[in-house]
Amino acid sequence: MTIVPFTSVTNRCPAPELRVEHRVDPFHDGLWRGTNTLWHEARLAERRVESGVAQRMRRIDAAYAPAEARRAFTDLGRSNRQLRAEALQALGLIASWRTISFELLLTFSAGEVRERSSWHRAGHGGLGAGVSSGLFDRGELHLSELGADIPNLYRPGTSTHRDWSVDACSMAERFKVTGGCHLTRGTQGADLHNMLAVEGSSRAAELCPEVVAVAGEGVCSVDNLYPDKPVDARMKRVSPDAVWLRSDGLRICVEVTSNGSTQSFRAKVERWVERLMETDSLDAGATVVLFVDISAASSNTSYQVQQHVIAKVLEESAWAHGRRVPLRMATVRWRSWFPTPGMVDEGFLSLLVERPTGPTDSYGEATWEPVRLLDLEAVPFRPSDPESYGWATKLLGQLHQTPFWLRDSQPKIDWDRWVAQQIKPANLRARVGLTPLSKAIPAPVPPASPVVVVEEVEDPWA
Amino acid sequence: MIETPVMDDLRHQAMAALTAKHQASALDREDWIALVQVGGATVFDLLAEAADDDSANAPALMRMQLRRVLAVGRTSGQVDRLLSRLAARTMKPNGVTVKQPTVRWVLESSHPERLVVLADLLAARDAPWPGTPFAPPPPGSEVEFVTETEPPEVPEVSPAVAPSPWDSFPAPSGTTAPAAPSPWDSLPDLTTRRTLTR
Repeated sequence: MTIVPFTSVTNRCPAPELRVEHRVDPFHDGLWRGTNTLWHEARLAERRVESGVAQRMRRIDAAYAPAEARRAFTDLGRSNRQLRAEALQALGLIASWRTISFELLLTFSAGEVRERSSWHRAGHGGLGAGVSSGLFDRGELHLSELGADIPNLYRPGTSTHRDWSVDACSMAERFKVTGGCHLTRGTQGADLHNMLAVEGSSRAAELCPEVVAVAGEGVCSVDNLYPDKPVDARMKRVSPDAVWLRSDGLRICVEVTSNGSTQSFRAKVERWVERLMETDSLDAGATVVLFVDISAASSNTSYQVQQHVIAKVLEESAWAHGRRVPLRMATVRWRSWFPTPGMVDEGFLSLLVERPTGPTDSYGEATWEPVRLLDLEAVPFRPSDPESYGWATKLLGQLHQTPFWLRDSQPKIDWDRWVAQQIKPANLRARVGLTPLSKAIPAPVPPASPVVVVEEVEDPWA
Repeated sequence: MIETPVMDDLRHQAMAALTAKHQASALDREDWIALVQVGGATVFDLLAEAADDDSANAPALMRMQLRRVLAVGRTSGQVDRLLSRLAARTMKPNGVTVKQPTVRWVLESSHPERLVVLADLLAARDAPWPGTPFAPPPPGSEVEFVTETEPPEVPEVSPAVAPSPWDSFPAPSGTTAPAAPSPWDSLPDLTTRRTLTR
């Protein structure tokens, strides 16, 4: 294994100042041990100010009165078009990636969202308006040292205002923000966990040449990944922390895990095994589930426990091997991809991971084999309908949550045209410049009636 | 006006005719609203009927207020929100604003975008098709992409030097084009007298 600095790898992000080497490293820079993020929620802050236990601070959160900030969304940007565009861009990113730092917001949006600007009040940016109106919460890391230059964190807020503001959008705006999914707040327990999911996705989008799109937790729930397969209520809430899309349409579902010994980890593995067994049809292998272990300990214990639990679950489910589930489960350690600050293992560029596909050892447990997930030969994917898998790249390329260098290369869908297509009456279709449906879809030609040959019988009476 | 029994009778007849017409058109409208209410027709079927030139109901439906059409199955607050969003997206802030748009306003053929915006507002709020953003669109539906129209290339016009009249002076004989007919040659004959007829 060769370990190289980030700067010596080809980076697909066209803006050098937004690349990975200029960002804070959430894993190696010693930022997290437990929960030390202080979250500013607009609703609670307003209540504290009203009751008199706190005073309003002159900060970016106070840049807008809540009512004024809300109006920015509901009057459809008549008052401030720029502000609205910024806030929708930020909402798309935050709702999809759960917890995201300001640096990553800049990276994904090509610097289109602004946090503060000293020269003009309206320049406080969409993030300020979003925080004031309760769309997002803003978090600061509390550290024991002074002078730490750490970017703020953002997460979805609890306000129902999110639903109103999305409801006020046009189809085109709404799809860019939500991807057609219902925006939920999700679990916000572990900021480090969410931050590593988005940082890893950003690195995959920057450094891995075979990754064509990345999707956050908010837009890749399981019922979206398998729309034609019914999902029971227990599975419906499950959504991988991120999905990385390979160039041939293979979906790599990333689960960031820190502790393999918990019951919830085992339940998560069981649910995925169950789901992968159900979907082994012609398009087997559409999904690979990758568990990324982020435990900070330098020993291998936690990682080995995880592998043991996965192997155990696979062994217990009777048909898992027959349905080739072990081929579609993989594990890796964050430290093996990014061993030291500022450096990357070249295995990350092709996603070098381990699969439980080796021969069984003396304990009867499958051994783990290394495999490169982005190697099209080693992990083949031959869907029956390759074109339908290509649509995910196109659709994710429409969304605000996608990094801008992957988004700008995709053609944009004309959503106004799509809406007009839903108008059915023929004379209205003609008014909006569409062909009538009856002409577009030719009527089936009725089968030719059999020719009845009437024999001419000579009339005897003539 | 001189009040005579005859005039009175005439006026009465005219009023009765107008009232009957008004009542009939009101009936048409209520029939259509009821049809939309029970789910027998969509709002767009109603608009299509209004836009149909051959339909006898069309004039009455055209005059109907859009608020009345949209109120089916909605609270007044929801209708207010719909109308304000429709206004925000179709009317320019400093241009002409219409307080109470009618069906005719939506169907104005010079503004097809109004119909599209209305369709957008009435569309379902969830995904355009199930499984987005991973599933392909359902068969039979067309997804079109925005074609980036490049600005037309403007041919570079070299600064034309106006030909000087001195270049061809004196004009060589035989090369001059026949003079173009002057508009003064075909002046109307003003000498003949014309009468205006009313």
